[in-house]
Amino acid sequence: MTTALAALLITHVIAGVVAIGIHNVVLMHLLKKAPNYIFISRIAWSAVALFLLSWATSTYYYVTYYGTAVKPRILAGDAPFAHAFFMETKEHIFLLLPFVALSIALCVSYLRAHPEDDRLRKSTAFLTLIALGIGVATAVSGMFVSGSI
Amino acid sequence: MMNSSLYSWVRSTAIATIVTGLMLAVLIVAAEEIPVLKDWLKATFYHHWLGKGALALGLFALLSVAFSMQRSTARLSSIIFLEAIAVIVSVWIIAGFFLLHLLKLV
Repeated sequence: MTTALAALLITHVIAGVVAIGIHNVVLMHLLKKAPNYIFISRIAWSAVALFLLSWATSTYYYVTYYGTAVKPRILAGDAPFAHAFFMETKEHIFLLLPFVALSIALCVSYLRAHPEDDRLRKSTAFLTLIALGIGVATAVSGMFVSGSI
Repeated sequence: MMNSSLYSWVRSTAIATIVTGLMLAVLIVAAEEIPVLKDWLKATFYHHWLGKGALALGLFALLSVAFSMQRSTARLSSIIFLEAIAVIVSVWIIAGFFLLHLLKLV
């Protein structure tokens, strides 16, 4: 692997993990009766930017390197399911995350101006929980893939 | 005025996410089951994953803009709840398909 590809992969992982952590913080605040919407709207938008960065950096690595250099080794190794299930699922559900993150950021920005909308706070908390679950599942799948080589 | 505009964007991106998520789930399963479709994605977008991403981005952008222009008084909390359910369904379709594929049941 070239240094550039390694840098892209590291950026993909760090940006993704930090964005997942941000969604955890957003969820914890949304579970309060009176969240600090100024704070969580700022960090929710940071999560959108980080997921897009993670998306962009993984794209080049995945398209130019993974399929030819990594995938054949996983399929020929002891844990071919790491690609057949974990990578296939991860690469596809990851496509959804930036859209969901954008929706969460817009919701908390709206709640900043309408803190009295308690039903929206609860729905946004539920959506954030789902995004957090997808994020964690994606990260854990990445660990299986890395550990299978 | 600004709040009304923000309401429209919250609503339109939620609807766009619902449709995009379900479209992605159907496209992903279809591309695995119909080799011609996967070949078309590869030939058109260089890689099937890039094709799925590009189509999802395009559809999401189109629907977000289109629905943001539409007037509505629908409750945002209901739309966001529906979005969460649609995302769960999309993820289950994708993960379920690859699990069945791994078990050689499809």
